[in-house]
Amino acid sequence: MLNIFTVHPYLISLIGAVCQTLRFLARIWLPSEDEAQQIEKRNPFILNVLNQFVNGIGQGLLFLFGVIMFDSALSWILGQWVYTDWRYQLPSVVLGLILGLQFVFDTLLKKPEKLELIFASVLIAGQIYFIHFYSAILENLKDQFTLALVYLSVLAVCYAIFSTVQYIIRNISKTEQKKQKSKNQNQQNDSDISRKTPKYLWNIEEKYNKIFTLKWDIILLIIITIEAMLKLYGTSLFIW
Amino acid sequence: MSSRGKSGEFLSNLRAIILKAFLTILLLTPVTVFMLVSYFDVMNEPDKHRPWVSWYDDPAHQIYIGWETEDESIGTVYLGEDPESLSPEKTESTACKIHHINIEGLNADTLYFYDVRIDDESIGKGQFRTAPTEYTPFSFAMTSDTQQPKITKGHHYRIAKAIENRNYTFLSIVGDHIDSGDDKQHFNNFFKTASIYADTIPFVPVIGNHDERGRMYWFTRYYPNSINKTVIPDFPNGQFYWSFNWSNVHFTNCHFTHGYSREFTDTQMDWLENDLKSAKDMPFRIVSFHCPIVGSGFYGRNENLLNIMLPLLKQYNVSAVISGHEHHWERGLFLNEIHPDNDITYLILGGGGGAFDPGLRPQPETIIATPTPCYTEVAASSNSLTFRTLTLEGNLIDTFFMGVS
Repeated sequence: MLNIFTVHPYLISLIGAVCQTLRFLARIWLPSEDEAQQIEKRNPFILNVLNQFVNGIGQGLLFLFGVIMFDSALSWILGQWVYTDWRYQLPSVVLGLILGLQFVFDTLLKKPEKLELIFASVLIAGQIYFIHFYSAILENLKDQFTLALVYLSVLAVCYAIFSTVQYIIRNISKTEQKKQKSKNQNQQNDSDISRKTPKYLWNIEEKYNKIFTLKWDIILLIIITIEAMLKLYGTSLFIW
Repeated sequence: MSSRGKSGEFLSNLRAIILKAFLTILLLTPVTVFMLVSYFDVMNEPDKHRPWVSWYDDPAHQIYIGWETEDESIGTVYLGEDPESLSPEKTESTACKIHHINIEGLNADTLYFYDVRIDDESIGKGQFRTAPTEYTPFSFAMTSDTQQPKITKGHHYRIAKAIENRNYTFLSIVGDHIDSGDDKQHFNNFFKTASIYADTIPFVPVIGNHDERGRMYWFTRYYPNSINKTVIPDFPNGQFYWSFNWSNVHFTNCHFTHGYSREFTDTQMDWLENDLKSAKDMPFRIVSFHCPIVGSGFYGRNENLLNIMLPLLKQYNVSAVISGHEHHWERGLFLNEIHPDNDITYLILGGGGGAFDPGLRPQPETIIATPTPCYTEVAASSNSLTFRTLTLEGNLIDTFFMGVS
């Protein structure tokens, strides 16, 4: 056992069930990607910025919870806890690996730019430090629970600010691009346009969307909700 | 846009909102139903449950049988060594709802059968074994924090099913039997679940911080074990500490629920020191109190227990110290500089039913820890205690052996 604080897989199923439910609620109530683009065109710029910020907080929390879930599952696999109670722990660990990765990729790592990747790494490092090392030296974890929530919120707000600033920069460059285009309409060529599109380090969006379909998400929602309910009765999907 | 077009758009928007609302209800219904059914289930257990057995300080010759009825009544305990021919042992003098009949003058190391009757109608049968006066091998079980979370029954039920047929001499619950000591409904739930094993396994209760809520009123109504009746301002119903011998093991149960300074009263500390002094010739001494001295969970290191209790435990060569409070299972070791051949093992048995700690940070003394539903069984032989911690499916989590020092 390492003398650091580690979130226990028990929490994975509870966090996962709540996150997955909220993702579905967002999917039901928020506009689709096409609708969002149309709304964005209709809305004034400041409203879009505000919308981006609020959206960023949600995305940031999902990213951070994804990191917690993946980290916790990995800690169990690496032997931080005993393996003899695997029937109780393993379902949460497997779900933590899948959902944790999905949340992290869904928010920042599907098609990251260089700056996004650096930002994601800083967020992950900050969170890992807080969970494993800062929490380990606190005198009474229960009294510091509020501190953990504040820390998580600060990181989520950082995420929201980052995505909002990025949105603003992209829009300014788009506007400039349009102005430039109208000025040099005849001289503009294809190579100039490609220079202005974002440079992704990788783009797995198409593949990702093929794997993590709506059907997949519904199945995961059902499984993790059942697992969370079973956990509250001291049992799991592997105990029957 | 024409009015026809506008109404068409309105209808399509309305249709979309209705569909979204329907999907939301569909999404949230299973969780809501689960929580409502669980809550209803938890909060509506009846007062009626099986009798239970415990004792004061001499389980070789004395025990009490407790039971509860929805209406005030007078009960009679029938007792005997042959389950087919029980005779009336004692009848209550006054009618009440929470009943205790104290039975004295029993033979040591004897299996007794009992039947509690009201108006000649049996309300619960069971059995118990009295303690031996000389060394006899025996085994007992320990758990803690059987308190159910507010929205479900937790896993005390699964522990009850796991130990139901294990023939343990007794079950020690190291505090927090219930979640809210001031709410009788929680005791109804606890005893209803405990009815699964209470007919064959007596209780050894230790008080926890949740038990003492409501000034220990309900806890001491159910468990009158404590020998201390001294009323002090912080504890208007006294403190709950008591001890007994079983075979070659001396059990001391103290009242340290949070490890606050106010719990270290002169009366308890004097009693504890005298108790440990008088047990110094016993091969094994196990001290139980709810708040751990150190733990990997929420509470970390308790300075009062570290500075006041630990030196005392070392001085009187205690074999093991058992706690709960933190909701995970843990084993660790305190080095004993006074008796270097007998380092003190500590156990935290918080896997008994409450919601688990969200994470752990092992202390320097920690050897092994995991938040999992479990209980610990101890087999006592003439010169050793073997501790085995088991999952509720019967898998071994940890085992260790302790010799006489």
